[in-house]
Amino acid sequence: MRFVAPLLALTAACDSPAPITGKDAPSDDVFDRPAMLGHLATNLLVPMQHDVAVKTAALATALGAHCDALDLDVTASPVAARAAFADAIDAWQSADALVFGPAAMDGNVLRDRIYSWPLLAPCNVDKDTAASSFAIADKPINQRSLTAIEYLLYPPSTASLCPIEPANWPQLDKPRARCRHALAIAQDVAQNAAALETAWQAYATELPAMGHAGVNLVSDAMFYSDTMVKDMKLGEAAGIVVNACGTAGEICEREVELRFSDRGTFALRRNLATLRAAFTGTTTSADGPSFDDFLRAVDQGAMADRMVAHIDATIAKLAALPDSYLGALTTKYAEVAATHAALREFTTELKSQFSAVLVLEIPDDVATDND
Amino acid sequence: MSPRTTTSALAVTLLSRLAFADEPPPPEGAPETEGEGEEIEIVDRAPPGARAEIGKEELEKDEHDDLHKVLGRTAGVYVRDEDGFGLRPNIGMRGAAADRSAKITIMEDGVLSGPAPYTAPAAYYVPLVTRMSRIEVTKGPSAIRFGPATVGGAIDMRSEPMPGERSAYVDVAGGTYRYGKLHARAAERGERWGLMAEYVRLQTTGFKQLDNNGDTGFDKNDISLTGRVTSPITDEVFHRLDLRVGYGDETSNETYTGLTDLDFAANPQRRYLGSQLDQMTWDRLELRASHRVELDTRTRIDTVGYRHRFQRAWGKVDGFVGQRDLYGLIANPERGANSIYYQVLTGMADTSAPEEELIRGTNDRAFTSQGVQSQLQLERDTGPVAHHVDAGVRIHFDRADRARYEDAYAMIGGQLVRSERPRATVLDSRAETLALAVHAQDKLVWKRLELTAGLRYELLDFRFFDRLTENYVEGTYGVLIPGGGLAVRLTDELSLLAGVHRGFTPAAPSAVADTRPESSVNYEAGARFRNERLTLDAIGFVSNYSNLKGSCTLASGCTEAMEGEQYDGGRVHVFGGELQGASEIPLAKRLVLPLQLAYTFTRTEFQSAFASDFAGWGDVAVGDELPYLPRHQLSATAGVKHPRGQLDVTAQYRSGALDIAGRLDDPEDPRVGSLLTFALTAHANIREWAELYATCSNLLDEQVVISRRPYGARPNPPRMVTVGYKARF
Repeated sequence: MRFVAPLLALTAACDSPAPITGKDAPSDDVFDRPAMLGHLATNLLVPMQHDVAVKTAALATALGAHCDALDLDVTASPVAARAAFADAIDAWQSADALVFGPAAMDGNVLRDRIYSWPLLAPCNVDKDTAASSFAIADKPINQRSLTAIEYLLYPPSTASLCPIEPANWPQLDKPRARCRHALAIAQDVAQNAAALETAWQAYATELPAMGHAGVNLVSDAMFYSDTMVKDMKLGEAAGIVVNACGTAGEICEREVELRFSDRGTFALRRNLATLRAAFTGTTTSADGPSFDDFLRAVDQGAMADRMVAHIDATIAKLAALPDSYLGALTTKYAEVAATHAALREFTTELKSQFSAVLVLEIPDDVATDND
Repeated sequence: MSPRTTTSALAVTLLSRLAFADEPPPPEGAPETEGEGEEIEIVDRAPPGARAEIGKEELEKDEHDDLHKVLGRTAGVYVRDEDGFGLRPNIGMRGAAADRSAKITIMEDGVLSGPAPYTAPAAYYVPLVTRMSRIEVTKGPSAIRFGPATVGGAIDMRSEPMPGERSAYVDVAGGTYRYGKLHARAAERGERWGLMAEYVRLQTTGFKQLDNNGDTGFDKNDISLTGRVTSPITDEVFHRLDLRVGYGDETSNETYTGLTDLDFAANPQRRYLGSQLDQMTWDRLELRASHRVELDTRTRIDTVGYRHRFQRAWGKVDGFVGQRDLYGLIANPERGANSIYYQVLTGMADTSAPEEELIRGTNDRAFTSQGVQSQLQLERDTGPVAHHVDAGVRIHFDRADRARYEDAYAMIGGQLVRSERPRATVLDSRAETLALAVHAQDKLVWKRLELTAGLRYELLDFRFFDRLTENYVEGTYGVLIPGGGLAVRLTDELSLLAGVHRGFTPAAPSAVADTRPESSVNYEAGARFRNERLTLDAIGFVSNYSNLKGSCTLASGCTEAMEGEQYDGGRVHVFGGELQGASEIPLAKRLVLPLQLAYTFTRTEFQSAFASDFAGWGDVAVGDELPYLPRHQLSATAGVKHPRGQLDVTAQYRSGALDIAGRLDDPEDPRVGSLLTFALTAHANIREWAELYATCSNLLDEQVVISRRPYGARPNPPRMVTVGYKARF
């Protein structure tokens, strides 16, 4: 028992007021935040949204062509449509790794209309297919977006995933019906991608003026690498963390992103490429100021180097994984686990020292992570 | 109490010993008279400052099981309904937040009753109000006699005293929503011993309506056995020893999940299918040994050793794997992906992806609260000045073992089915506090002047260990809590009073390292009027917080991972006024019109701007008001009393309040509604020893949103009718 402490001293100590600390405390560094935001908007974010708009429009076109071909020949190959899907989903995976601004407004509504993973209701998609219910704008997000298109373009079988088959399922001309359904969704996705690009063009002009708050928006978006990439795409899929299958150390297919098309590895590579570009400011078109420079401006160059090294290590491990993510999860578990561990090195620093040094809030849903 | 009254009172103490009982004393200010089974207490029943007492007659007249309803008639006390039955009360006083009654000191028979009052002040347990004989509410400077929380005040629930002779009591009631009550008590007395057993059972199927018609009610049991031995009454120094053992348990199908505004408008009593498995279970064991020694007729020492063990597990839906913000989901059910989760929560859609699995989190807690306290009360005269000294010491230890595990469920065809996702343990910690508290207070009475000065000292030694993160925190700190008051009797009927005291609430061991204890300086001033027909208190109060503290509970809207943490809110000003009055007006022969009034006006203002992670505050601007504190609160009762029975009608009004810190005059800030309800109580004394009674609460069946925490809009209880029968033998 430590009741021996002088009573009066204790009393005085407990009375001493302490200032309230706030995360928005002004910083006295000279880092040019508007320049960073302007650079990222011009050379990374807007080009990514443009790419998504172009590729999703191309997907709609390709699906239209495929549906027309199916009308003539039910055995028509989906290769071209699937290639267009791959382009579109790859484009989105680049953008998805840094979602904020227009795509994140009103509860991520535009993001989810373009790509709703991990929310997908295959049974409801089957019901819509069977009923030719293609008023996509009225559908919940887990029955639309690139997520549903993937399911329709890569159906696991001709069977429905509903516990009870939709009424006319046996008689349904499934290839044609699924294609028409996918086309309707693709047209909706293309419209939303175009709307997002337009919104981003305006938002990009406003972003630099947001200053530190704008920088915090970008850093918030980078937490995608923690919650979505590390925890979900890698951790849950590989059974490294608690997952829906209750498996440990083995694949949980239900948790695998793009499991129908098996493009999970491609998605991860795109995600990390965007993360690196956002962190370093080095994009395909230009090199400019970003978080690594911000860290150097506050005498944290070593931290900047360390975090970039962690990203590069993750990228290298992803490059070494097989293109088939399902295959990697089955035969290259150690490599997937190593990728997870490499990324964790980065995210641990992201949510601790990085945020503290740069006086950045971290998102509520990761603030209490016990990593 | 004047010296003359005190002397006369003390003169009958010996007589009271003959009766061997401790019936409650007469109301404050009234002359104390001897009577069967009555004991005169030298406890100062008229300390300067605001104080209210709800006596046995009033408690029995209202027939409430819900402490909220009992205290709703006391000025300066705020209650925030949650489940409609007061199972886990939210009581605040004079601006102190009501969340889980964590800012006030709640006692039973002068003993801290909370599960772990220092370590985890959230009062998930309060004694059953139906077995109480009176409730004392202490505000102002006299509150420093009680602790640890002295900001708002203290509530002491006094259980049924040992009767002076063999007796029995039974109270049986039934009502709407299959409400049932059995309350039985029996006592046997000998010359130097006594034995009393008491049992209470309450049950109902609940007024909430699950979409599958499941039970939303509760059942609870409370049993106690008290034994007493005394020294011979002829002994110069009189001893009395009471031993009490009590056990209680509860199973309640309670949830934290409310409704969207749209669903609330359609049916306020609805409960979503996602909450169908929600249930709280607890049990509590109480051991108490109380010793009283009366050294002479003006000196008494009461010593109590106590140990309480409380265990509870509350499993309830807290969100989804992919959407942990259930509050935000229900507040904006159409926003983004929320519409998907809302469909699953309500059972309108099945779970179709791992992210759509519901998380049912179980907060599994074990608490220990034990200690020894001794209190000296004496009266002495120094020349023309009479002293009433109240001094005490308490060594107290409490501990909270907190575990939380989460299970995932899929919604399939309206049923919750356990998914393959394994149980996750997300919290496993132990926190404990050893506290030494000493206090001394002297009331000096000189002619028409009463001066009270007192001091409390709390020395806390705490430790906290998180078994998951292996984070260990320990510390020691102390605090001096002075308080004083002055009362001037302008006439025999009218007094003026004023007081000032320091308010304090300890920081929980689990709080983040730089969180400071809550501290305030509280002032009050007013007038008190007493005569045979009318009692009236009009008191203004000001509380200047140097650091308001927000305590995280799920009930207050925090996430499960934040539970137990505390947040600094900086300087806050609270001010207001209380008006409390009662009168009995003779109408005709043997017919009386009893009237009661309690009104509270409260204003609050944050004095600094800051952004807080505490859900109830959020982004605070200077001048913002505290949430869940109504500006106006009014209770008015009128009745007709006759020796053969009584009929009362009570109107209660509470103005709207904010859901999070903001401005009441800003219509954009989320809020809960104002509420006006009427209640009827009727008693018929069919025999000298038996009575029939009926109550009707919320007569007009008015339902509004009374809380949006933790997850969505929740209603006040609808109209409820109860009829009962009481007999005394």
